[in-house]
Amino acid sequence: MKENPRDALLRIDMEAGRLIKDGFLGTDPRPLSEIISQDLDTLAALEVSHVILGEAMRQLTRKGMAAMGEEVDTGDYLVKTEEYMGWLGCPFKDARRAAKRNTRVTDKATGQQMRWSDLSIHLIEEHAFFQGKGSPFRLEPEALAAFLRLPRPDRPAEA
Amino acid sequence: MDFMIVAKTVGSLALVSGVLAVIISIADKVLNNYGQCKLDINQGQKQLTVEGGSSLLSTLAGQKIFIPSACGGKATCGLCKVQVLSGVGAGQVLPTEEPYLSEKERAENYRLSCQIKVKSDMQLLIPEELFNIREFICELVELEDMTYDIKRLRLKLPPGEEISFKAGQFVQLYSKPYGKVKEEVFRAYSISSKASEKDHLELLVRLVPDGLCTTWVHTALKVGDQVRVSGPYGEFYLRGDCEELIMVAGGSGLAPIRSLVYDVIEKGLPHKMRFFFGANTVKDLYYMEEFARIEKDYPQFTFIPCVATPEAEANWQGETGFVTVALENQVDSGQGKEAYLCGSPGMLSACIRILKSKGFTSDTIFFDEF
Repeated sequence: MKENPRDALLRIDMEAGRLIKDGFLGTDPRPLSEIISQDLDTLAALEVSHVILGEAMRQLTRKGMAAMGEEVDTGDYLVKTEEYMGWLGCPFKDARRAAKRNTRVTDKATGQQMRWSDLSIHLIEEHAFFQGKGSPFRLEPEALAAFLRLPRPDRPAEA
Repeated sequence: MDFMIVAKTVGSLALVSGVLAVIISIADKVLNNYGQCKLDINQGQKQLTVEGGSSLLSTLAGQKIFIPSACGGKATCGLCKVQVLSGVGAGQVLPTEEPYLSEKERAENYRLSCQIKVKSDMQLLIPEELFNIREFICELVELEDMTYDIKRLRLKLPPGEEISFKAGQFVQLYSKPYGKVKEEVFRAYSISSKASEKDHLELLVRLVPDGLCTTWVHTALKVGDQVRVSGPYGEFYLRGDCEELIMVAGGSGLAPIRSLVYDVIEKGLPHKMRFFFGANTVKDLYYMEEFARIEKDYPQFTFIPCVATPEAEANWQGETGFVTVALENQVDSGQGKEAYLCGSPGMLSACIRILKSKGFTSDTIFFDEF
C-alpha cells in the first residue's frame, strides 16, 4: 500500500529520536494507514472498539493516579502509575498533549503485566494507533482486549 | 545471459536514479533559492536581512531571537506562535497549524513559526521580552547523582558572559545526537542555582523512560562537554505580594524552588516560606542537609519533606504520607499567601485543588507546566 503524503510526513516524526527516543513505529515497515487498518480489522473481529479499549485503559490509569505513585489494588488488577514533569505532544499533530505518565498493570489472576503511557491511551482512543510492531509501547489489540477482559457481556461494542 | 541483462538493467536504473537525484538536488537549490529576505520585527524595531528557505523559527534562532518551543519545530506543542502581518506566511494557516490556533489568533495573523518557511520579506510582531533571551555555549563542570534518577548539572558560562534571570525561570537545554537520536533536541529545565550567580547555571534532570533529552544527560553527557542552552524563559518567578510563600515540589521540581528560596534570603525579603517537598521513598529525597541548614540559619524558612512510603530500614522520622496530605493539614487558608508549585501534572492538579479549596485563587497560585 502506498503511503499518502500526510501520513508520510507524520511517519517522519514517529521515527526513533524525533519526538521520543525509540519512536512509535519500531521495526514496522508498513504504511501508517495499514498499521491502523489491520489493527482495526483485528478489533472488528473481536467486536471491541479502540474507544472502549482506550476508556478501559484510562480508568485503570486514573485509579493509579489517585494512589500517586503507590501500587493500588483495583480488584482484578494491581495498578501503579509513575509521573514525570512535562508532557508530550501527539504525533498526529491534533494539538492534544499527554502528561508524561506511565501505567503498569498486573493481572492478579494470571500475573501478566502490561504497561502504557498516557500518550498510548490517546493514540489508541483517538487514532486507533497501537504503534508499530517492535515499538516498546506497541500493544497488540487482541492481547490488550483479552487483558482488559473485553468485550464484556454488559457492554456492547461501539460502532 | 539472463544475468547480464538483469545486471545491465539494474546498472541503468541506478544510473538514471543517480542522475535524477542530482537534477532534483540542483532544481531544489535553484527553484527553492529564495535569496535574501528582509524581516521587519515590531514595526521597524528590528530589521534583519536573512537567507530564505528555512523555517521562521530556525531563521529567527539563527539571528539570536529565540521563540519558545517545546517540540523543536515538529508542530506538536503549538508554543512558537508569532504574528505575521505580511509576507508569505500572512493569513495562510496550514493544516498542521489549525488545531493550535484559535479563531481570534487566526484573525490576528498568528502562525506557528516552525511551520512557515521564509520565502519573501515579512513583517512580524514578536513579544519584546523574547529579545532578552540569549544563547550560551557552556562547559559542563560538574555532573552529580543527586538520587538514582536525578542528576545535577553545573554549567559554566563562557568567560566574560553572564545570564540575568529571575529565580524560578527556566532554560532550554540542547542535546547532541546520540544512539538512535540523529538530531539535536531541546527541552526546558528550571534553573536551580541562585539568580545572583550569573556566571554559572545549575539544572536538575530526572531520567524519563524513553526521554530524548534526559537519556542524553544521563547516558552520554560528560564533565568537560560543551553544552548549548538558551534562556531565560518563563513566567514562574516570585511575585511576593503577600506575607507567606507556600512552596510545593516533587522530584526534580525542587529546582526552581531552591532558586526562589535563595532569592528571598539573599534579597533580605520578609516573606515567611514553607517548602513541602514530596517523595515516594526516602531514596528519592535529596538536598536534605542543605535545606535543613537553611531552616536552622533562617527562621523565616520551614522545610517539610514528606515521604509517601518510607522504606522500613530508612528509619524515617519526618512526615509520612503524600505531600498533598501535609499541604491539606498544615495550610489553613490562602489569606496573605502565594503558592509556588513545581512537579508532575498529577501532583500539580491535586495541589491546586487543595489550595483553591482553602481560598487561594488563580492569581495567587503559580506553576510551570513543563
